[in-house]
Amino acid sequence: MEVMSKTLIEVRNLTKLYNGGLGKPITALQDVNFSVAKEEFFTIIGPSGCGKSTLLNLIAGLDKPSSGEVLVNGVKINKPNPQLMAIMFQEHALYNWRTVLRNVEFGLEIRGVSKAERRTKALHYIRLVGLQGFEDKYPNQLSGGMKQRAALARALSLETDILLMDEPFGALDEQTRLLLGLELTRIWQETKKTIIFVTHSLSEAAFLSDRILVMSARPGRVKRIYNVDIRRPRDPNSDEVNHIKALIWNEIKDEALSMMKGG
Amino acid sequence: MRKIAVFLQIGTIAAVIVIWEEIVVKGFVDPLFLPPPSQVLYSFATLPALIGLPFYETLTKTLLSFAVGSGLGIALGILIGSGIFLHDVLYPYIFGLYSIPRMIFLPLIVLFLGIGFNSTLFYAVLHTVLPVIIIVIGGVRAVDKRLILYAVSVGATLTQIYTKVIIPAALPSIIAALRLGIIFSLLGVLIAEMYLSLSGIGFLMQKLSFAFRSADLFAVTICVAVIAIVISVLLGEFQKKIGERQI
Amino acid sequence: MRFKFKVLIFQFFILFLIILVWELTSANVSIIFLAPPTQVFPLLFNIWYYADILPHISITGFEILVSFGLATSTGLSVGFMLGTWKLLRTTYEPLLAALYAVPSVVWYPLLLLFLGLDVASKIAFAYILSFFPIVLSTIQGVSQVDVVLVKAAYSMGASKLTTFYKVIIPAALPIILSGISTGLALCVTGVIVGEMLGGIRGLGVLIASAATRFETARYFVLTILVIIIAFAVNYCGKIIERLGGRGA
Ligand SMILES: Nc1ncnc2c1ncn2[C@@H]1O[C@H](COP(=O)(O)OP(=O)(O)O)[C@@H](O)[C@H]1O
Ligand SMILES: [Mg+2]
Repeated sequence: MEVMSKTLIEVRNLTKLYNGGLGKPITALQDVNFSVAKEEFFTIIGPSGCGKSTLLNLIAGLDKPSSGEVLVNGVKINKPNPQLMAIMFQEHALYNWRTVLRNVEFGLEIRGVSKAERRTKALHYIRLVGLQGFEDKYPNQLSGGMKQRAALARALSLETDILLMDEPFGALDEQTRLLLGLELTRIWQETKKTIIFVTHSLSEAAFLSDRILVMSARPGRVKRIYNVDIRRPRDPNSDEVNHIKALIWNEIKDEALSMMKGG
Repeated sequence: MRKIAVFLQIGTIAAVIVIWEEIVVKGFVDPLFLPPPSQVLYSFATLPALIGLPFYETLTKTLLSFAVGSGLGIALGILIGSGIFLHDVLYPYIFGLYSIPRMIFLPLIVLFLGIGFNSTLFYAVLHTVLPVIIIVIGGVRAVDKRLILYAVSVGATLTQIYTKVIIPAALPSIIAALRLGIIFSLLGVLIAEMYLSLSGIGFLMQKLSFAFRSADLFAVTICVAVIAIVISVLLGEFQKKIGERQI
Repeated sequence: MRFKFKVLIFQFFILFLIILVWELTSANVSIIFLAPPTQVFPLLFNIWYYADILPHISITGFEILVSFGLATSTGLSVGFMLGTWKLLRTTYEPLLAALYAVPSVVWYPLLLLFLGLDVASKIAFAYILSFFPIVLSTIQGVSQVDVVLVKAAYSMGASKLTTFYKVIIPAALPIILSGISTGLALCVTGVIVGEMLGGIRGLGVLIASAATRFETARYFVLTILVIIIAFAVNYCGKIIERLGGRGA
């Protein structure tokens, strides 16, 4: 990081307990601390079940922490703030009774934006994610990759500074995932957003991120944060990218194993 | 949550009984129509004498029509469900018959079989067989084709494909069909008994209703309802067990 | 296409066979008179024959409409309430499911006792039959809405109320509509069964009385009428279900 970067998001001592039934609490997150700079592409990686989604939901204000806090621009988050953050889920979470266009319009509709304006905006973002021509299709008529593009357009249409993405391309095949990753990089550079990106894919993490946070298995803790100082545009098969992948894999391997043994 | 819910369930039932008693005692409704729960409770004491014979008759007819109707329904369901042409030809008829009030055929059945045991049984079998066929057809057609292809690839005979693949795979829906079938048998028998006015619980209930013996009628109604619920719950548990094993 | 054609041929063949068997039986049954199709079909298409039947059709239709209206409105409201309020659902869904398992006709003698032989008892009986599938499918539909759809709406700033009518209702709609469609079909069954088991007016009453007087031609005409009504109502149900279609 050559320039002094300004902190945008701060996660402080975040702990989350879930009621595991039978009165036994599950510690999903324990004492998580990190901060994300403005316009940074920040990735969170960790074995499945380590608390990545929990963490992202807390940042989004969709859930309340058991202790600790999330600050954005120094202000505490305790409920969703659609002016500030948009979130995208692994399951596309599109409304299958609405066309692509009306799905993308949804957030603006809630915001009370006029019909003409939200149409213009929605069409703009549909074009940006490369879905022009599919405005009037229903989600069921789209391929997996196209659904995620539509979900991305819906998140972008809110024009927030922050974009939270929970394994957005996790259900896609390798090629589609790479392609969407490329486009996401382009859109990120164009729109100058701050992105927190959750994934379990090493390639995705190494290829996309400025920094990578590796989480430990249950209870979820910050294990280590890596800087990825590779110049963009990146080549997904370059030695530098592979080197980062190897580093993270070594870090994560034991966690994944212990997770599997732990059941 | 569960505990509170059970508490509320008991509370609700208790409240219904208390309000019911109060309404009648305070004279809001004529006890001739709505007897107080205390009187219904009293009727329960004389219930065995009242429903002994009719109960036996209805039970016999229900079990017989269930055995015939579900047996026939399962066999036909497996046959029709596994044949593409047969299914396409017959399904509209079966579903058509299922979706009209079957009771309109009861007079025709009586015309041929007379008033009595045979027509009741025939009607109850008709009543049982249709939903059973439809559920079993659904289950058989939902069997993963790859399971069958695999069996074929290892040289299974036609009989083996049925006994070792199709039937076990469709077992959950066969159990579901049986669970529904017993209730439909009982329903068919009761309807026929009420219509034919000859014997059984259905006839007894109709008779009590027309004679304004409301307390006795309440007692019989509650009794039959509870029996039906118990059967359904027991079969439901069984169904769950089978479902767990299958997954 | 050839396959479909063959299916159709066989289906017509079955229909033809049914009518043929009917004709032959009626010619050979001597003890009781069974009207043959050649006698029934002309009556079916003779509008004058319906002069005294028409009022009964409208009574039956009225009973169907009223019971369906009541069942839909109460079923939906109770269903939405139980579906969104978890404690209420865990409390009352098992009770409703248990009552649904009771063979419906068990309630009918009580209804006759309370409401008498005329239309009220039929409406009440059809209502009971129809209410359960509607309320249970509404509960199921609402409580099965994918949480991620709701989360997405909250993250975009939707309030609880907005989420309810912009996300939960549309997401639950297909299941709810199929419940309503089942409920509609059961209204027809309830009304006809109720009328046949004892009543003053309506198609079911006419069927029962035609049968007891051995007026078999009339019995068949009325039966075919009920079948036509049932099919028409089921078709309406299919249309209702299709309202939830979403370009799949
Ligand atoms: N609503 C919940 N209630 C109880 N436990 C939960 C809940 N949500 C998540 N968990 C548990 O918390 C842990 C972390 O889950 P999650 O954040 O979804 O992990 P990840 O996204 O990394 O796969 C898991 O063990 C999961 O079982
Ligand atoms: Mg997750």
